[in-house]
Amino acid sequence: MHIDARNLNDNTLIEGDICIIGAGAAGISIALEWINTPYKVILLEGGGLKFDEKVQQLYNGSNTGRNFPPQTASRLHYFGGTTGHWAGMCSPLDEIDFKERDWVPNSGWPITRKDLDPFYERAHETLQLGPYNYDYEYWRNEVPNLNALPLDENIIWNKMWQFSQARYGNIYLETIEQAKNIYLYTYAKVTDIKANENISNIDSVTVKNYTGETHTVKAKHFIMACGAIQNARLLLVCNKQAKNGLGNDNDVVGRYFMEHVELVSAELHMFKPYPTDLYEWKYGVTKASGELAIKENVQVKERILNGTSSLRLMSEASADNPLERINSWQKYNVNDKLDSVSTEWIEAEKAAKLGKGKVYKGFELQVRIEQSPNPNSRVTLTSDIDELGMPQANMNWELTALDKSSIRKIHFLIGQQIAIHGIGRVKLMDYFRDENDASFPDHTHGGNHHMGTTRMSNDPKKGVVNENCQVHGLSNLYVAGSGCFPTAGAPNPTLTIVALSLRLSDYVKSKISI
Amino acid sequence: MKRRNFIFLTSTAAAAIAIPVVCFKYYDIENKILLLFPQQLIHIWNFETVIATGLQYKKQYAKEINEEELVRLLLEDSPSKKELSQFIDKKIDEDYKTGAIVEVNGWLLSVTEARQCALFSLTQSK
Repeated sequence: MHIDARNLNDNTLIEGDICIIGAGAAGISIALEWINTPYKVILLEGGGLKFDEKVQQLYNGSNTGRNFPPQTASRLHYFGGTTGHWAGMCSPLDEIDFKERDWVPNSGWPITRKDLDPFYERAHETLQLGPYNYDYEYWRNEVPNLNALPLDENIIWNKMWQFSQARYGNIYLETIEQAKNIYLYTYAKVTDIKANENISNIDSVTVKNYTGETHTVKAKHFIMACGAIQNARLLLVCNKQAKNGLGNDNDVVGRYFMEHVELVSAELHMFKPYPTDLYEWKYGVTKASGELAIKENVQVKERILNGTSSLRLMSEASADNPLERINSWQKYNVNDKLDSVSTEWIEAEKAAKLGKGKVYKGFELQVRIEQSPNPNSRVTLTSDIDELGMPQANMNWELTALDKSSIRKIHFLIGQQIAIHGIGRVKLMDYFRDENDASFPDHTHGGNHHMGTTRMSNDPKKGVVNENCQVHGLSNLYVAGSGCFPTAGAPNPTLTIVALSLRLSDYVKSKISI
Repeated sequence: MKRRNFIFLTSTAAAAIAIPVVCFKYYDIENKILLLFPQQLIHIWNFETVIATGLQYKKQYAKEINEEELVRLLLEDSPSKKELSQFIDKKIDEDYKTGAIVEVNGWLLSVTEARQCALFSLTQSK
C-alpha cells in the first residue's frame, strides 16, 4: 500500500509493528522480508516515487576535510534510494575483513564471514544476482575468455565480482504497493526520534514534509535505514532528551566515517599483448569479472590494509604506441628483438579472433581499498538547518599514513609478481613514489561508499550498535546499512548492506515473536 | 659513445652476445655496455625512456655513477662459462624474486635493469 504523506491531515498518528526509516537498498530489502507476515510494517521514505530536486536538497551539507563530493551528489532521496544510479558491483567481504588486526587500529567485527554467508546467499536473490559463488575457477568455466594473468596464487588472487542491475525503485515498487501489510509512506521525512523517559526505548518518530504538516509514527521496533551519513545525522539531531544525541553516550556516533579510496595508482605495461575478458566490465553485459587482490597471509606479513587493483585498458593518450616505439629502436638495429615483438602482436591478434578475449597491451591499475578506521574522520552537525528544520551534516573525511603506504605496497607486490612472471613492468603514479609521503593528491576520491558512522561493536564504548545492529542502550532501535561496518574491506558495500539487513530482519522477527 | 657508433656496435650484437665472459673480459668497455643493454625493456620502452631512467638512477645512486663501477656490479659473480645474456637474465629474475627492486621515475625495476639503463645513459652523454 502506498500513501503520499502530503495528503494526510496535520498531526496524523500512524501506528504499526515495525517502522523502517528509509526506502533504499537496506529498507526495502527488510520490508520485502515482512510481506505476508501478521505484522504491520510502516516504510517511511522522505522523498517521492521519483527524483525531486527539492527533497534532494535536504541532503545538503558542508565539508571540512579532504575533497569530498557535495552530499547531494552520490545519494538519491526517493523510493529505491541510491540503487537508482548504482553501478551494481557486488562481491562479499573477505574473511580477514572481519578479523581484528593488530596493525589496523579499531579493526574487527563482532561477527565473522561465516555468520554472514547465509545472508549473502539470500541477498543474491534480493539483488537478482547469479549463484553465491565467487570462485575464479567456477566463473572461468561459466564464461569464456576469463584468462587470468599467470601470477603466483600464494601472493595474488583473483577477486571476482558479479553485477546487479537491481534498481529497487523499478523492480520492487509494485510488490510493495500490493503487499497488504506493508504501508509505504512517501514524503515522510523523519526529523526527530522520541525515546521514553529513561531513554531506553523509542516511542515514536516525527515525520515532516514541505506542506508544513507534522505526523507521528508509533511502532514496536524502529529500524533506521537512511544511509551512513543520514543515520548519524538523525541520531545526533535527537539531542533534546540525550544531550549528545541518541545512542551517543560514548561519542562514537558519526565517527569512523570510511570510504573506499579509489585512485589510479600505477600502470601495467606488458611485454606481450594478452587476450582476456577477465578484467573488463560493461554495465548490463558482464556477468563476472576479476580484480587483483592480495592473499590474507601476505597482508598479515606486510601489515597492510585489504585492497584490490582493477585493471582498466589504458587510455589512448597514455598508452604506448607500439609502432612508434618499435620505430624508435629500429635505427639502433636490434631487429631480432623487434621481430619477436611484432610476431607476438600478430599471434595475440589471431588469438583474439579465435575468441580468446580482447587483446590488451597496457592497463591502468586502480586501487579500491578500505581505509583504516579513524575516529577523526567523522560526520558532525552544523549550525545550518535544512528546510524542514534539521541541522545539516558536516563531513570531515580524513585518511591516514597506513592508507597511503598500503596502496603503495599492494602495487609494489603486484609489480614484483608481474616482473617475476615475465608479463611486463609496473610504473607507480607520481603521488605513490615517495614512501615517506603520507599525503594523498587532491583528486583522491572515494567510491561514494559511506560507511562506519554507527559502527558495530559489542562494547558500547567502541560502537554504536551491537552485533545484532541494535543501538546500545535502546532496546527497540536498530540501524541497517553500511554505517554499521567497523571496517570496509575492498568491495563495494551494497551486497553486504543487504546481507546485514536481512540478518537484522531475522533478528527483529525473532524478538517480535517472543 | 656517439649514436652513430652505437648503431655500428649494435649491428654486431648477435655475434657478440654468444661470446663467453672469460673472453669478454678482453673486450673494450663499449662492447660490454652493448652486451649489458636492458633487452626486455625494448618491448615497452622507447629509446628516450631508457636514457631518462638511467639518468634518474644515477641521481638516486650517485656512488655507482661511473662506467667501471656499474660494469663491475653488473658482472659481479658472473660465471666464466655462461653466456652473458643468460647470466644477466637470471640475475634480473633473482632480483625480482629476492626483492632487489628499485623505483626509478615510478618504474619498479630490478636493480640490475636499472644499472643497465644507467650504463646505457652514460654512453649517450659522451
